[in-house]
Amino acid sequence: MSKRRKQLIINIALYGFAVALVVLATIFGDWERIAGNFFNIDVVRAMLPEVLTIAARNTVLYTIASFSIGLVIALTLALMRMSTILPYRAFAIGYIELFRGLPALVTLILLAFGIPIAFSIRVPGGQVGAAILGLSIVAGAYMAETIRGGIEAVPRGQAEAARSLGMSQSRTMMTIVLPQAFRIMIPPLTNEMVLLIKDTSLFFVIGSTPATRELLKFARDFMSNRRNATPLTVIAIAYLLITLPLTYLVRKMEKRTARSR
Amino acid sequence: MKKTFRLVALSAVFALVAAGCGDSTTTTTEAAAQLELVTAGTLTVCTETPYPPMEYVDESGNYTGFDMELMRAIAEDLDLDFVVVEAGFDAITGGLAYDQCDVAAASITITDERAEAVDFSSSYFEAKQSLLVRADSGITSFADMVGKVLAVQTGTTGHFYARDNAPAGVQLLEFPDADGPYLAIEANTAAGFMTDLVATQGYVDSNPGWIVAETFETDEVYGLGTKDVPNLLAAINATLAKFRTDGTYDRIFSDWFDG
Repeated sequence: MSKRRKQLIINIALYGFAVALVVLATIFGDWERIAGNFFNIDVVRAMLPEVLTIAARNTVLYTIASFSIGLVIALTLALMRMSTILPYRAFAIGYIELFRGLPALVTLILLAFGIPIAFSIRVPGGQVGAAILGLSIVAGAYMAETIRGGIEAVPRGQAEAARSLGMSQSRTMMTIVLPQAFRIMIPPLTNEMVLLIKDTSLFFVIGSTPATRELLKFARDFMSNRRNATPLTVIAIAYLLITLPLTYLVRKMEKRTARSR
Repeated sequence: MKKTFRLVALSAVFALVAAGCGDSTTTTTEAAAQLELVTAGTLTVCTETPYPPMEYVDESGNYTGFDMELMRAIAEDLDLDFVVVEAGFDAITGGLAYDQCDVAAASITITDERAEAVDFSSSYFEAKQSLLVRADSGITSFADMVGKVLAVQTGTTGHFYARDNAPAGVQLLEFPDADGPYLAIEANTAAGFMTDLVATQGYVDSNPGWIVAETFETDEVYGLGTKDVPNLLAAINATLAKFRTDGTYDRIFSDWFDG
């Protein structure tokens, strides 16, 4: 009884705290100023439809491209990481540690400016190409560890059974282990995609044109033209419209995986 | 609105202090309160670095450059401490930066559009536009840029000049800061950079292999930015006028541009 009572008091206190926060925000927030600066309907109108047809579209395209290339890099790295050949393993470990350790922005700048200066090699696709490749390289490093974890989580007996049925090593990996591993990997890989969506907001630092703008650069342009912060609210909503369905999907899949075990 | 609240709070504090200490403190505290400062007793200056020789951080970590030294002198003249805060150039010209600082000194060209969001001081510098290229590029005029990429910093007068005056076939590539264009030219991503002559002249002087291909008269002048602080703006304008006549301005100018 007293334990329940204690719990009840704690709950009431927590609710009270939340309500107090909301009340304080309502009283002390300058709502007229907030509305004018962050919810200016004229600015929203001016941003449509380009915020969707150019900015959101570019953000999604950049994410998909970086994720796809990153996935190929990650799969290669994960296999190298688990290889019995030492130089492969060493390369994979070095790559993963390097690009997980560097801020994505540093990698982007190195790729966009460092490589062309050093070797006179240009990434196809100009600044966008360099940015996508840079983000793919970073994503590859993160996803390699996810993929390795997924592969190692498939029970060893699966591979042993396949091998004893006469399947080759590579066929066992491709048809038995990887399909099962991917089911385990999908939620963390989707999380990585959500991170990538937000990392595309770094692209404009290495140079942009009106047609290559993604959501953040698009908002910055409107902010300086309109002297107003409403564009940030608009793109915040746009980012959430892209990321929330993905995170919802992850939760669903995690539940399903948990049930099927 | 917020500023008004802060002022009221400040004056309330000062009233209390004054009541406690007697009349002797009233005059100085009142004068300080009238300047509408973000931090009492301190002139907080917004800028965006690096933009040498106007504003940059030197190798021992201090803010310096023509703008910074001018502001330091102004703060001293107003009997205030001097603090620099970094803000984005967009926020400085768009008026969003002035919650964190009293005045912005960032080589801001006075334009009608910007004057809607910012209260400018009287002009303190005359500027021209310039096209910076590598000497080995063979580019000697704006017309030679046709078919090439021209780097600009978003929202600068160089950006707008290029946008409005570039010959057809020049592609603009925008960067959020003034570093990107230099790197882009080194990386052969862009062929030229359109920006103020003060910046490119300083760069060319210390970097052989680069030239100013062409300069452009645009009747541009720089102003200091403020927002809703009429007393401070008047004080700054008075100090600027005094500096023009007492030789302070010429001394700072020659420190940065004649030697």
